[in-house]
Amino acid sequence: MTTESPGIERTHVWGIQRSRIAGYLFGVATAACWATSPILIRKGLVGLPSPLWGVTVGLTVAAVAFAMWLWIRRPGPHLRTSSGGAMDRMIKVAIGFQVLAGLASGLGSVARTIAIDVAPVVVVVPLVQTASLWTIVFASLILGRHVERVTPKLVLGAVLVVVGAALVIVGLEA
Amino acid sequence: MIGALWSIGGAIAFSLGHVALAKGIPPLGVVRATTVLLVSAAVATAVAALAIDGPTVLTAAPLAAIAWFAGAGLIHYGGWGFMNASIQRVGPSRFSAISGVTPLFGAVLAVAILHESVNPVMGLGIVLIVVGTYFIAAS
Repeated sequence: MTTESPGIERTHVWGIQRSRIAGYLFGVATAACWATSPILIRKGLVGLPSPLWGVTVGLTVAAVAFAMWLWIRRPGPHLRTSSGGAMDRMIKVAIGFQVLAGLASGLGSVARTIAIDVAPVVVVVPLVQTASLWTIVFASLILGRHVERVTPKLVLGAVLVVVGAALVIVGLEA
Repeated sequence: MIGALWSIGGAIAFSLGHVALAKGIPPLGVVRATTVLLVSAAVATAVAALAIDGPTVLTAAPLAAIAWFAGAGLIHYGGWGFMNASIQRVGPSRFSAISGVTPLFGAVLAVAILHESVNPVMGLGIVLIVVGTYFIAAS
């Protein structure tokens, strides 16, 4: 008699949760974009020697591109509105958090620009890279430990990446 | 010392931004959330640029320089779309830690385009980044 065994779904690939792989790949894609842009920025700084205006031009062009994508494709989720057409409170709160994130990112860019202006890159870049360690602390404090599961492996991994990044920058500058 | 303080201040601002994104993305979706993020960041930096550098620097700049920055912005801030998609799936802590691999790509580009060689310090750094990234992904 043969028995059919139920299909066994692999939940992990090389110890990495399968459902999260896309999220990590998007993270790596972000890093690739961030590493590529300085090549164009260096060329731009020759004619426009203001990193702040450079950042503003870049942000404006990207904002227009995303707004056009939003207008043409109208991707989901569709925003819920009340009968009077007013925005759902949850949507307003979400927009508020995005605006806060935008202001924080803008402030971070300005702080990094000033830091590079007054201190060597080998000092500035590794210190700015500690953002990942700060995020682990703030995420568990603000979002709660039930949302952001901070494990020793995550902390160790973040520390190794920060130290490794610092060494790469020091090596590049040597 | 002042440079270190600005650097750490910048790191804290970026990390708070990542945490705020985790709250804002789910109801809006990645594209809408990224658009709001970009518009608010553009307004913030425009105010800073006007206050610190003044408008003359921009108006006197050649079109080619503005075009280079526009291209850089499309790549760098287009990456914010990937960032939001990543935060939506793995959360801000894991995204922030994974995005630390940026200097690794910088080193790869320096070797590939500028034909720089990998010295032992860079090599050790690359190994630590790869091992650290695996720990983050498997955490």
